[in-house]
Parts: sequence; structure tokens; C-alpha cells
Amino acid sequence: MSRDPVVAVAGVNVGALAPETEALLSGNQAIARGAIEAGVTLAIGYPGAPASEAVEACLPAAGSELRVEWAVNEKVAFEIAAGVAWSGKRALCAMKMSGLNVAADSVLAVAASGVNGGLVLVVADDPSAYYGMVEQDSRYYALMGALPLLEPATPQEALDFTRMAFDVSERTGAPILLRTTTVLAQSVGLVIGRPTERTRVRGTFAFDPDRYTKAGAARCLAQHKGALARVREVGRLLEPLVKQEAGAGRTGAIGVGVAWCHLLEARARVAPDAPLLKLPASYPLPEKAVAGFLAGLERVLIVEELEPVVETAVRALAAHRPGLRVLGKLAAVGADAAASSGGVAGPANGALLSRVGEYDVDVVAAALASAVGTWPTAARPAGPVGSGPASQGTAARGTSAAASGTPVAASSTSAVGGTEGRDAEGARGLGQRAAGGTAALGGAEGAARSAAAAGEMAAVAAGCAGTAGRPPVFPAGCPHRGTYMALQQALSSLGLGLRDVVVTGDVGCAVLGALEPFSACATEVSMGASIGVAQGFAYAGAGKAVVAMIGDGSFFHAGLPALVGAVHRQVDLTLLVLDNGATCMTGGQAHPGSPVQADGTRQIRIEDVLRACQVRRVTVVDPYDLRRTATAIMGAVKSRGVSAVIARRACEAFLPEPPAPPLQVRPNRCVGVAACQNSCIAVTACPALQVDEAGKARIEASACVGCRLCEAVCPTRAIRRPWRLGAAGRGR
Amino acid sequence: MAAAGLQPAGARPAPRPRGGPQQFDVVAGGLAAQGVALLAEVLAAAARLEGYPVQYWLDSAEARLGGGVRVHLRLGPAPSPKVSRGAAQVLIGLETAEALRLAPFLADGGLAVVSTHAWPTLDAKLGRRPYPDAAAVAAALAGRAGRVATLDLARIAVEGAAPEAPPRGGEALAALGALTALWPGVDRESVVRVLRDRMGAEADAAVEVCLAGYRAVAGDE
Repeated sequence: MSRDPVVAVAGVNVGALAPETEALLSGNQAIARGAIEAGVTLAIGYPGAPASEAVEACLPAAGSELRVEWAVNEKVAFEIAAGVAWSGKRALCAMKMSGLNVAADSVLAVAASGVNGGLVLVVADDPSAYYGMVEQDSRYYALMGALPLLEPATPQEALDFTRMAFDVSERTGAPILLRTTTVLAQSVGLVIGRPTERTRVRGTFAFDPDRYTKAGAARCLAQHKGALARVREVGRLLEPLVKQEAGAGRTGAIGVGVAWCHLLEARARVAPDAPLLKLPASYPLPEKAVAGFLAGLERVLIVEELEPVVETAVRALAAHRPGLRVLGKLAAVGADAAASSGGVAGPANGALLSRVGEYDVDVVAAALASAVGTWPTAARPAGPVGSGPASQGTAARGTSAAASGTPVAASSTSAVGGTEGRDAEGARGLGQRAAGGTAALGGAEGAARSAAAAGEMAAVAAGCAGTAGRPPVFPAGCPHRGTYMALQQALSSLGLGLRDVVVTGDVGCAVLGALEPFSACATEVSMGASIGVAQGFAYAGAGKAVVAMIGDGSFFHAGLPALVGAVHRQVDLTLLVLDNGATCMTGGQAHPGSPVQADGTRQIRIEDVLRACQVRRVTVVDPYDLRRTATAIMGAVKSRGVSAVIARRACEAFLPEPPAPPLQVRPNRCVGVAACQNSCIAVTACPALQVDEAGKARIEASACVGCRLCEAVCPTRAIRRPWRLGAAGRGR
Repeated sequence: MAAAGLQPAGARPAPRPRGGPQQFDVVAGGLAAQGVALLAEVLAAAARLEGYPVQYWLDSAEARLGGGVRVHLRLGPAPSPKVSRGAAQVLIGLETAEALRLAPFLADGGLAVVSTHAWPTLDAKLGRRPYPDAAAVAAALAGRAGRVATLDLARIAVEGAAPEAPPRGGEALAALGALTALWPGVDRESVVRVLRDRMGAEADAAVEVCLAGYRAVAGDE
């Protein structure tokens, strides 16, 4: 049994669900179900939350008619999917937003060529950056590449839209970009499936360089023209998916994606008369439906997370309607700006929503109330913590008027956005969030509750200041902890401090080495980037040595080209490969270096690749063995050219066998965490190490996996395995 | 029997939510491996058995990084997957500070079930910052909550499963049992039925831990 910390009951086999029977599925699972219903023959992607599950949920349905696999990176995944779709078969390709950046070159090229079989590209954006990457809006790729979008709002729509996307893709020849966000991807709701289509199509491909190559400007221009024509055709097909909620009010709102769900609920709370329009996608904009909706309105609020894609398009449509005010996240101009200072309670620049952070009902209700003019100026919420422009100001640091119970004046420049915040500000943020949230009730009730909640939660904050933030930490038994401890020891033995060298980090678990107590990684850019960035630091002479940290997944994903370049240029750098055998941050998915998989893969050993790339010094160590790992790192740092150390040990979370017995602390030997010069807690930051009532180290048996790293650093030899204390157990 | 603290004891539970377009919201939080996702799955399935429209949103982004896991569970017709601040009738905290993080979502007069288990951060362990214990959390919530139940859920899970090892997510299962004793929103029988249907080889242990959580609050029947 896996010890994956995401504890859940056995996964649903979405392929086996009975048609017309309801099931509780996440947005990702619903996408998988929709693809299976549509007769997809390939589901492929690269692991990256929050999109991974769209592929993973297809795995139980894999067989002779459906191939499901992880590619080496997103670009390759999409290219494989394109080959399938060009051959007339249906393919699903899923990736997170940063993966789309990796794949973009191929995505735009294939979008220009068009497809034969249905091709659906699922991309999950991450408003509020739950997964710690750039908060980007992938919809711009749709505009850039003439790539039609679909944006489901609920798990049921995720299923329906996915299934429909394959039909639309085949009817028009356009690949379809199905865009979700973290909240939809990981929301679970009631879904009813339909029977699975059987699309036994034999793969065929007709030679046609005009369509499938970019050889010559004439071909490129013709393809561009064709792609735009396909977008128009898709737009026509999507018009019937536009939904309207009637209302007698002169202020309406348009929503798309999961923001629509917040808008629908917010309307019931603050503006029941407001007519609403739900868009199935931002691009192509269903202009006919939107123009009809705008016809009777004086104001319209656009509710979409991240960038003002729909808002920009609606403003263009409304250009011939000078009396219509389009509200959202763009600053008002001209007459709008003048009007906003009087008619709508809100920021002087007219922006009611933020481009930063995700939304929720409270956020949308506040904006909608402002748009319809019912917002009590005394109760307007402060910008939320950790998101929105306000978070960069004093509000984010707990000094806002709202946090102290004083209502924020209407002249605030804060736009409403974001939600409960993912700040590291600790409990001080609670007061602001509570104030913002209850104020969003609107009216006198909202104002009264705002003040009460702010005061109440400020009291909570005062009592528990700084407790809510929980910095990420290597789990107990994580082999990377040993690697970073060994790196510190190696540098120290060489007479180097951490700041004497430049250590570049990479995406994934490995970058936790940037945090205390290791404080090693200085940078994190993108998958595989640590090597190239390190090469730049080496060129600049930025440190006495340069060390690039990279995980095994990132190594194969995009580290290889940089490695080849560094060896070719004979750069003096140390490459530390943190090899835990899988893509563990995202759930333990296999990569080319993983042990042989059941579906018949071949393991490609990292040391073989390094040697083939002419890395002269390659050492493989066990990061639980601090001494040998440190020695290997010292040797690599002292060497010329590219030297590599592979710190190899499987991630504890995905091992099938039970862990080694927990270690124990001998209280009579422990001098106390505060008094110890080299305390196990301060050195390892292992979550299994706790402090007992006497101030001495204590090992939480339920968390300890017996890695013995704490034992190795304890200066008083207070930590021992159970058998050394006479208890039963086995060492590892 | 593990100790259960109830504050204030005089508060009466809300009437059972039956019929009509009512909305009942639950927020729950804890740390990785404590079973927040499991709690949501079981509670949602049990609520569905009782006829609620259900949906939930799970934030497990930092589960593999030692971070908190949270869930917003909505029983009723509301369209948004996220609970509004001040709207949750029930708050379940499987860890003290994680319970505190959810405090803004608790409705006035709501029910809070909070574990006594604290899992301090590195800063707290090194004495740089304070860390709330269960009493501090209960005191902080008491001004808003109608009822705060503090329970040693870890101990209940161990004792409830004895002599076997507790099942995965034992603290969450114990919290579910306690919840069915304190909140009439979802029947204990429905929860037990879901556990028996879905927990496979761990079903018996899961039910035992759940019932131990129930007994920790309601006493032996």
C-alpha cells in the first residue's frame, strides 16, 4: 500500500461507470470520463497539478483501444497526440499551464495545420498559485494560435464539454483547448455520464506538405487563414451553449468558467434582478449572443479569473454603445472614469476585480454589489490578503483599517480579488479575510458583520499570531533532506559557506532546499532550468563554485539539452541529481528513469545518460549515507568541467513496503532543543521530530520512517534505533 | 475512552436539515495523511445517500510538502464549490492551527470539532513563534461558534482500531463519528454504510474508529 500523504478511498474507475447513473467525480475525472465516452484512443500528458488527474483517471480504462501514458515532457506529449489526431484518431493531451508554455511551439504549429481526428488539449490554470508556479492565463494561447477554447464551469460540464470538444474538433478540423482552473479540476460534484462511443478508426495519414509543413511563407499564410476560418466555425457551433439568466435589472453580468458558479450565487445574495450571461468559452467570443445580451443594459460586469480576456472583447463590442459601461478589472477611461467616481462605489479607476488570485462568492458579490450600486461605501472590503493589488500594500501586512475593525473608505484603490489567501502572513491575515468576507454580504447586515468579524478575528490573530502559515517542508524520510544536509557538510569541509557558492534549484520537490534550514537553492525558474542558469552564473563568476540541483523528472523533462550544452562548453559546475525514482511531487508518476513499468517500458539510467553525454565524473550515492554523499559532492565541486552526483533513493511516500521502525530519543542524553548547538530539529527540519514538554526532542512514531538522518547529526548520540534500546524491530 | 471537551455544553444542535432548498456547508482541514480528502469523500457520499445535492472542493496542493489540506463541502443547491466566509455550519479541524486557519468560514452559532493534536511548524519548535494548542483554538472559536468540541482524535483512532493498527486517515474517521453525534446533518448509519462500501479491507477498522469517535462524544449506547 502506498504511503502517499493524500489519503483517499480507492480511485473511481471512470471508464466503468454505468451510463445515466450519477457519480461523484472531480473536474479532472469528469474530463477523463468525457474523453473515454468520446472514444479517445490516446490519453497522454506530463504530470503537473492540477491537470495530472485528467490523464491518471484514464489509466484504469487503458487497454487495446485506449493507450494511456506519461510523456517525457509536455511538448513531446502534445506532438504524440498530434500524430495520432493527424492519423484520424482521437487524442487527449493534458498539462498544467506551465506545461503549455513548454509545448507552445508545437501547439501553435499544429493549430495552424488543423487536425483530422479529434484533438483536445486540456490545460489547467492555477489562479492563486496553489502549486507555486507563475500565475498565468493560458487563454492568451488561444488568441495567439487561433485555437478555440472551451471553459467548463462544473464537473458535469467538464464531462459534457470534453465529449463535445472531440466532435467539434473533428467537424471543424481545429484542435480544441479545454481550459480548467485548480478549483474546477479538484472540485467534486455530481456527474451523469452517457454511453461510450465506439470509434474504431484505422489510422491513416495522407501526404500533404501544404498542410503539415511550414515550408515557405505561402503555406504558413494559408494555414493561418485556415485556422482563423476554423475558429469562426467553432464559434458558430458554440453559440447554442450560451446560457442566460433573465433579470429586470439594467446592470448585468457575464461569467465564464468556474467564476460563473460564484457569480450565480453572488447574484442571489446581492443583485437578484441582474440578468446574467454564461459563456462556454472566452475565445471565440459568441458575439451575437453577447451583443443581444448587452442591448438592454446600462452596465455590465465581466467576471473571469486572471486576465481580462472576455472583458477586452466585450469592450470592443460595446464601442458603439457609449452609454454602456463595461466593468471588471480594467481601469475605466474617459467618460467611464468620470462616471465611476459618482455612480459606482468603488475604486476611482473603475476596476472592481483583480487580475491576481482566484475568486469566490464573497469576492464576486462585492464586485456585483458595486456594479449595481447597492454596495454600502462604509462596508467595502479591503483587498484580500495574498492576492490582488492591495496585497502588495499595507493591507497585506495586517495594518489595514479592516483588520482593526475600521471600515475601509470608498476611496481605497483596492480592487476586489482573490480569496482566503495563500499568504504566509500567519493569523494576522485572518482578520482581514473575515472582514472582507462578511462585508460581502452587502447592505446593513454586511456592514455590521464586517465590523464584528474584523474585531473578533483580530482577537484571534492577537492570540495566535504567526501560526497559520505553514512553510513547505521535506516529509519525514525524504531522501532529498539527506542530499541537502550532505551539501552543507561538503561545502563546510571545503571551507565554503552557502553564500560562497551559487546553488540553482529546479521545479519539484528539490526546490524545498531553498527553505530553512538548508537555504541552499537561490533560484527556481522552470523544469530543467537549473543547469542553464548555473552555466550563466559560472560565466559571470558569481560564486566560488556553482552547483545545479535537479530532480530526476526534470532531468529528463528539459535538463538534458542544457546538460549537453554545459558539457560542450566545458563549464565548471557540479550537477546534483536528486533521483527518487519517480515524479513524486505530483503523485509518483513514472518517468524514463523509473524502474520498468507494467505496461512494458525500458528504464534509462541517469548515470548512463550522463556518461553518454561525456560527463567525466559521475558518482551514485545513497543520500541516507551522509558521509559518502558529502564526500562525493566535495569531489565533484573540486573537479573541472561538469561533474555529477546522483543521490538515489526511492521516495518513501510511494514505497509499497512498510517503513523501518521509528527511532527513539534517549531523554537522559538529549540536552534539549534550545540548548543543543546542533539540534536534530534545527539541522534536519524533519516533521517527525517534535519537542516534548521538557524541551527535549521527541520522535513522533506515526511519522518517523527510520531514515536515521537525525541520528547521524545528534551530537550527544541521544537518538537510536529501537533495537539499540532493547525493543524489537529491524534496521534499514 | 478518550476525553472529549464540549464548550459550551448548553448549546442545542441545529434542527435536522431535511427538505426544501436549504444549504449546509462544512469546512475541514488538517495535515497530509490525516485524511481530510477521505473525510470529504465519505461525508459527501453519505450526504448523497440522504438526498442532498453535494459538491466539495479539496485543496491538497501542499499535501506532499508537509502543508495543510482543506476541503469545502457543500450540501445543498448552491452553485459555487467554495464556502463563503461566515457560512459554514460545521468546522472540522484535525490539527489545531489548521482549524484556526478555517475560523473565518465558521458561521455564527456553528459547530466546531477540533483535534487536540498540534503539529508545530519548525519556527514554533525552535521557539521563534507561538503555536496554538487546542484550548487556544477553542477559546478563539468560542466567540463565534455555538459549540466547540475538542477531541483527542489521534488517540480515539488508535484505541478504536485496537488491537489492529488504525486505518488510513484514522483521525478523520474519528472526527466523522464525532460529527454524527454532534450534528444532525448526516446520519451515522449513512456514514457507516459508505465506509463499509468503499473502504475495502480497511472497512471494519474504519467503522470501528468512526464509532469510537461517536462514542467519545455521545457515550456508550
